[in-house]
Amino acid sequence: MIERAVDEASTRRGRMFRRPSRSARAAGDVRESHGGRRLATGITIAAVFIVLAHLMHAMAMAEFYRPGPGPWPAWVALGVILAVGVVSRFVSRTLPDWLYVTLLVALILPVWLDVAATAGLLEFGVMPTAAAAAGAILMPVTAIRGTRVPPGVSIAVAAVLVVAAALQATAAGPYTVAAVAVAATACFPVLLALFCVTGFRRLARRELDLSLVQSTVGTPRSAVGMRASEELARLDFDAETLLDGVGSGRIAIPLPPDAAETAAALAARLRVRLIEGRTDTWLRHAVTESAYLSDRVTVEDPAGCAGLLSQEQRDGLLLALWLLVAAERTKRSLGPRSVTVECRETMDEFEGEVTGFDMSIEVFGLPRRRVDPATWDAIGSVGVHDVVTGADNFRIDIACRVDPHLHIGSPVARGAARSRRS
Amino acid sequence: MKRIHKERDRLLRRLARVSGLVGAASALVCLMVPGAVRPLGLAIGALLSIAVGALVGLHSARGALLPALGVVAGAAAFIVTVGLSPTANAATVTAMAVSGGVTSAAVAISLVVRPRGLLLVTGLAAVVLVSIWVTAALGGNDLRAVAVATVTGWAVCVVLGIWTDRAIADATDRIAEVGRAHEAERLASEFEAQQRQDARVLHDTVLATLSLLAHSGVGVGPSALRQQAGDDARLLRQLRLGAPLDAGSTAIFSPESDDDVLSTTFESVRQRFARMGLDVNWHGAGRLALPRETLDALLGAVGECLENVRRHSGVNEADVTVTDDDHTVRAMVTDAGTGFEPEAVDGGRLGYAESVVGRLHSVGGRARIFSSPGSGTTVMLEVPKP
Repeated sequence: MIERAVDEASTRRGRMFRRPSRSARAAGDVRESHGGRRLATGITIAAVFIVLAHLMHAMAMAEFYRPGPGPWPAWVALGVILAVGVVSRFVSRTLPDWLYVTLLVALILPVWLDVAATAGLLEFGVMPTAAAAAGAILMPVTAIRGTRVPPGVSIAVAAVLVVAAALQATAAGPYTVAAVAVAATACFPVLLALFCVTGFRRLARRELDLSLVQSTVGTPRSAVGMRASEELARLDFDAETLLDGVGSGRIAIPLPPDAAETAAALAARLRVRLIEGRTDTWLRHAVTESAYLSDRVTVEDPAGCAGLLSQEQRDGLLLALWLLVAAERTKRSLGPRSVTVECRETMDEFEGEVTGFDMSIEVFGLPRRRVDPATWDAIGSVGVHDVVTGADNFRIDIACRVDPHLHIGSPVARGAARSRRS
Repeated sequence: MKRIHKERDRLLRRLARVSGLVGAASALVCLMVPGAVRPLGLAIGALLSIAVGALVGLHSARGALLPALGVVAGAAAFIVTVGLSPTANAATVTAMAVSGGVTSAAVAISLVVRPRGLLLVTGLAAVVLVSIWVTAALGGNDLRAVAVATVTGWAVCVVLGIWTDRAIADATDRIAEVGRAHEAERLASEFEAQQRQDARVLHDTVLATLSLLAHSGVGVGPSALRQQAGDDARLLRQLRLGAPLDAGSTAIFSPESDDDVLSTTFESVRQRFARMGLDVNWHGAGRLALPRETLDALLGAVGECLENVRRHSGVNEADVTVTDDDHTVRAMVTDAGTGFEPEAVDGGRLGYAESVVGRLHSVGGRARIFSSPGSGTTVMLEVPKP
């Protein structure tokens, strides 16, 4: 327990980004829980339309098929696979891996049956339909299961259909074009669905990150931060365990070397944790706890001025930083995007109370005209600002007015926090 | 407009751009197959495809309506031009199907989420279908396949747009919920951390005990050390469980600048050192009107100085004298032990620098050391009065 605490702390510094464990738990699973299921429903409906179109195509070609069962065994096979997939999805929310793989492999059957049934008939305009529909039913699979394998399978199906069309090209002439187009319908909708799903997930992750970080604006002037607070709690607990061990006689006196070392390490780290954090503010925590801000935004605020801002000002500042970081990339030549926030104390004092300070936000890698107009509104709520444009950057100077008597972190919320603990 | 809607539109426009451009390019490729259309038809088709592609780019850049209408009009014109060419065959039909079901339908993805978007999109789809019907009627070709492809394409795009919108609305709600819950978590965490940091006196004794343990309990009897460790563990457990604290232990957790509590706190420090074999004599003011932060810092620094006396001085007695004037409160920690050469000791040593100087600095105070080998040590701690 104790060793783990010390180990983790020593490796943590090298790691790029890690959410506090409570935030990580809150972030949860974007794929399933945050509206992802709704999107999967939509994609399923879209897939049904495509499958129906292919079915109509098959029926329209009915008179040109060779005598015999035609493409219908392929459609039946596809229907069976689909039914098994749908039923098992309803029975167990998570499709077992072995069944998933089996169903994907089973798609070979309709593709093969269909290609065999239509082989040599392209010159009469007869082309595969069930095989193309097999590609389309991978659309919902992409949304529900995985974003790599189903699109890959759909591309493989399309490739098979293209090869089948190419083999008949000399006889079929212009029909080859139509057959290739049908082959494309096996994979293009899946890729579109993939694009949609990844775009949606990226959006949901970013919004979630912002929402988690926005909770920092409600903290008091100087805040310990969730990660530091978690660590402090753990250090206290480890110290308690050790001291209890000594007190109850479980650990011998004089201490064995490893226990003595642990005691020294705990004392050193506890001392640091107890003293630090006095000038850390919500802004620093917001930046370090955000996956998107942490590697692009630097905060230089030795005096902890940002803690003086009111809740609205904090909201505005956080949103502005967010929009600056999130603005679309334009040219690679601009270099990496980075934002530096610097707070400077001024002599702006009234009866010994600080009533204002200067803040400057320096932005690199983003032309001023590409800034989302909402950014300026957000900055406007922080204070009166002024923009200085340089060669490859621009700087926003904000004169922040603050109310020295304002205390953020409402007693109601603190009361709630206290009652939740008991 | 809400920011999330902007993000949504950006995503939908990107989808529209991909399918629009893919559609325009594929339709053109179909025409380029030898024998599909005559050179004039190919030229017109190519021009229309390029124009449609440009309009798709324009629409997907900002989401303007006019280029989207242009895309649909261009695709319809493409269908009519290609459909009426005398060389109609499977390749031209495919080009028309792609134009109707992919290129023109692409704009539906981004248009359908506008206010009354469904109506607009239905109208546009009808325009394309009418153009197909007119082409079929005039050219005498069977274009049912094109019509089916068009209807399917538009339906797919509309569904994709609407459900993406709904999914994002759902996600926004969920995320707002998670955000609110997390805010409560953060406040609780902050409150807890604050409580822990505020339990200064407790942590001072815990740190002192841990340091003792780290040095294998030099100069302290095993039973005293056991008792001290047990007491500290019990207090830490109380702090962890948030158990109701009786008056005595409240002082241990977080001393208020209250007269009674102050003497209790002094007493607790004295007892702690007594147990470890250092007698502390307290002189001077027993009541101090200091803000809590300042008092905490001063008492913490005194505790650290006494710990240094206990460990290094070689005597088992120390004096703490507290005096104050109008501006300053001074605490002097004096011992008659071995002493040392202050210059010879690195002032940056973590113990002294952080635990004494750092604490006092944070409340605007300072510390000075007077010592020489053989004649004891005096540490003068000063904090300003409010």
